Amino acid sequence: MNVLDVDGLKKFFHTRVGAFGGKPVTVRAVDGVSFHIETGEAFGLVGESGCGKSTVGRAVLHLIPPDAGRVALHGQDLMQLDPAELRALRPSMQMIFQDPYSSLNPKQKVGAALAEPIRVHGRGSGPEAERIVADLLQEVGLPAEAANRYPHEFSGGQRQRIAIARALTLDPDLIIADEAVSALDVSIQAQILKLLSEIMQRRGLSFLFISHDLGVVRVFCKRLAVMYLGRIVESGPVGPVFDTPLHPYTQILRAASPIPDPSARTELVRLSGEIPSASNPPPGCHFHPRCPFATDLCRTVTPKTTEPVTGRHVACHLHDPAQADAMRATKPLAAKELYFP
Amino acid sequence: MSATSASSGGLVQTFNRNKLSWVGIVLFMVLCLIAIFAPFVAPYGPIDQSVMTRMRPPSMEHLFGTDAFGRDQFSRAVYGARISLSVGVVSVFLGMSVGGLLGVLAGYFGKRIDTVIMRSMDVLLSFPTLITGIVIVALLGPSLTNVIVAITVTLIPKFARIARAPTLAVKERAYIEACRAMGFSHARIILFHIVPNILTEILVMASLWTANAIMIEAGFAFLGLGVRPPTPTWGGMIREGFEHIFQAPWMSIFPGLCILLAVLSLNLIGDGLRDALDPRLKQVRDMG
Amino acid sequence: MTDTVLQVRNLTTSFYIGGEWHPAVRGVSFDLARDETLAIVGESGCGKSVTVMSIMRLLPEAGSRIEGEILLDGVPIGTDPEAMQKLRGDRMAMIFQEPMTALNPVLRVGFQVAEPLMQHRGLSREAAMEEAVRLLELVGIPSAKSRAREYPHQFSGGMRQRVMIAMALACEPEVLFADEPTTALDVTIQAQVLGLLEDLRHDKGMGLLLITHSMGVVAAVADRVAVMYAGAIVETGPVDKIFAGPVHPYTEGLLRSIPRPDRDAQDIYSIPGAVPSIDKMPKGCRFAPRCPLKINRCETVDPVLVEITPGHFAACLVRAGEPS
Repeated sequence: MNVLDVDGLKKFFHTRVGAFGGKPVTVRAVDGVSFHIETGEAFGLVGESGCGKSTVGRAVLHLIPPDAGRVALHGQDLMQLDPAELRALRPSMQMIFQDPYSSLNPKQKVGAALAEPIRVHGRGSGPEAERIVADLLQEVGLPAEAANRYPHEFSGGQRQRIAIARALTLDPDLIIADEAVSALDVSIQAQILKLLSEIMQRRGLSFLFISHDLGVVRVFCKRLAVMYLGRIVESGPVGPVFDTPLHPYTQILRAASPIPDPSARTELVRLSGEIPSASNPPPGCHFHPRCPFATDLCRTVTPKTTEPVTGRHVACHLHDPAQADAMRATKPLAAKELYFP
Repeated sequence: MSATSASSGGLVQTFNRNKLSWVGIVLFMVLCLIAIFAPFVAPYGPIDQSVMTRMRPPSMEHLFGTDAFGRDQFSRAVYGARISLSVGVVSVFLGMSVGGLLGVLAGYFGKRIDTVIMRSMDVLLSFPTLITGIVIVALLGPSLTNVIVAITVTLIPKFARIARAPTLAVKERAYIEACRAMGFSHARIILFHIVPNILTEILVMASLWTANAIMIEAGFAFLGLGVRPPTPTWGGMIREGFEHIFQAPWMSIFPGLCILLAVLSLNLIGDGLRDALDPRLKQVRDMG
Repeated sequence: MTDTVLQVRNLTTSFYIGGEWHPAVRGVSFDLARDETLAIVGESGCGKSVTVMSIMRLLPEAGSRIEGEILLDGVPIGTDPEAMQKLRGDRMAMIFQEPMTALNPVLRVGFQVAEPLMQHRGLSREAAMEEAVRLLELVGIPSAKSRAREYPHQFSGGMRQRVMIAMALACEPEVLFADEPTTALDVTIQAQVLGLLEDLRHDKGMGLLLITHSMGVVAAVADRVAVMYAGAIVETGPVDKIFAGPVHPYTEGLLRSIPRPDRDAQDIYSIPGAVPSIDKMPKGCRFAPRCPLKINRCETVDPVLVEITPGHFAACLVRAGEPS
């Protein structure tokens, strides 16, 4: 069974723009996102800032209540639960944050921070909690003395280890890692990635791994979904999606991601255009203003998700057999040449 | 790097670097000890009158001189410290507890709760301290308790405002989200994860407002709104001395100095706390 | 090299911490030619930003000490604060990581671009504003004339970085320092900005000193690279040589640690340990405690840069040896 099923998840934010109240604006942060995570699998969620990937993570955890859709943990729909039932389920899903400096309470010793959830959920008290904390510290590669120190005495990498230990205190089934290694230096990032994959193997954990870094996702995840302005545009196994991306956005994202190899140096993508705001997304396919293959159809009709290759899904008219004639009929207006190695 | 270590290096270390704040602490402790052990410190009773020694200037016998009833001004100042300091400390403690909690609740829950709490605080804040005090004392009658009530009421909205702003900042930090993900209750999050992280900022204001409260009490006493005579308070002594300011200036000067010392010590403590809170200011000062 | 525009010799910058002077940059030397991109790469705390701030004399005077020689077009600079003031923004310009905080939020974008022209070139306000619009067009800001009248908050991150570049280019500097210019940007925007920097460097024949933590960015745009660790350059040379055959074990480890989007993951390689803090630097080679090749001598002898092949230097007793 899948550890997590997400179906048609939606989260809109309502704000006002301008002075003295201003005019109401709806930001469609997550606009109908569906995916599933198999048990023991690391699933990547990739996209640029403002695409809604972090909102998906928080809505799955119900840290912010979703507006519509279904989020099911082990087949149990979280949207149907009352607050008490939800609180009882919380230990099964935990989160690791990007910034190891703000994710730990500065006034709380590491030992106390790790023991607190164990005591609150009645998983152990006194010496037993202390033993669990000592084991956790060892598991994340920190000395036992760390329990008696405050977070500010540790480096960024060590703090991230503490945050990982805290996420493990309640023995979860699913961990949502939101840019968990993005703030770290390369050599520390590699250490933390290694630690996370060891823990995943040992405990049979599943991960929702949110990142903007395609390299990190390729190393850590088995499958992934690419998001653009609140929607998933492509999903599938990591290798094929990165090696032969189907959606034009994935192609551009992949081409723009730097590769540490000067012999593979190519003409830098001189792709023009900005990422539009999610409060005012373009009609039709959200990506059409930046897409070199955009046609009139793309400007008006939202593309359906199809499965052109088994296990790979893409939301683009180019890959929808039902739209093949319509796409041929409407020539791209600005046929820019897209470079892709 | 140094900024982060300084901010979390603990109050004691920062205080060690700021010698003046230690002066403030010692001074305030001495004043408190004098107030507590007043019967042992004061050479005379605070209301003992003596027709023989009226309006005497300061001497070895009467350090601060005597007043129109021949009462020893030093003894009165020592006993007056009890009233002045307890009014300051008690009203600030009450104002901090009630106002601080309201501010934290408003900041943490936001939305409707925030609006209701903060708008009522704005209403309280819109009355000048003195007017509020006069109204309360007029309604309830002049007494020590009512002076404390009056000052507390004016402090509550100030503490609510001071507590709300850092709460808004702290609640956005990832560790609060982590607490929610672990299924902690709101009460636990507020008490163990928000309050400890905003306490220093509130304590800075508490020390400064204690000084303020002492002055407000003196003002009430000066206007005759405070504790009834003959019980000595610093403000009351200044008022009594005012009638004889040209013949016996010491009657007003010495209680005035007492207020000055108390206010100065609390301000030094407040500055020390502020350095501990904002290491950037401290660094700039060290460099320049 | 006849075309050298900037020479840095034995730059050492120390900070006064806890009653002692600690060097954050130790004996850094390099040359930068016209129309060349030199990348200084390293992890946080390696001294790469301090190097640039020292060259530009942008460090606070109290608590810091700069030694060494810096030559711009063969002329020593940096000793006279007033002369430096004239050079900054004119012959040497700088771009920062966070374009939102580097731009003044209450001034119109066009005015901010025009400011260096009025300051250094003595242009009139009208002439400077006209030039500013031309510069904004040059860095690829659409409808530059109307956007020049907008404020920084009306620009997206990538557009703000373009404004920063336009400001830096206003006086046609000979040397452009770019400190993590794309770190705060999304990858598709990063590619645009890097492309723009490369085009402009080539058109204007500037020397570009690029500070970055990303080996991917280095591989994409740099001609030469200097790898810094714990305040010193441990390896420097042409980009293709260093990526194809890193000599210093730190460079090698760094390259192996980078997760690559273009190939399937093998095992994750990581350098053990962490960068030592500035007041707890080990004796001898500063990388020795983390180094897989360490020999006893590494703990006592501080290695110096040795030329391995023309233009390719490394400071490692085991791999590069000691100077004869």
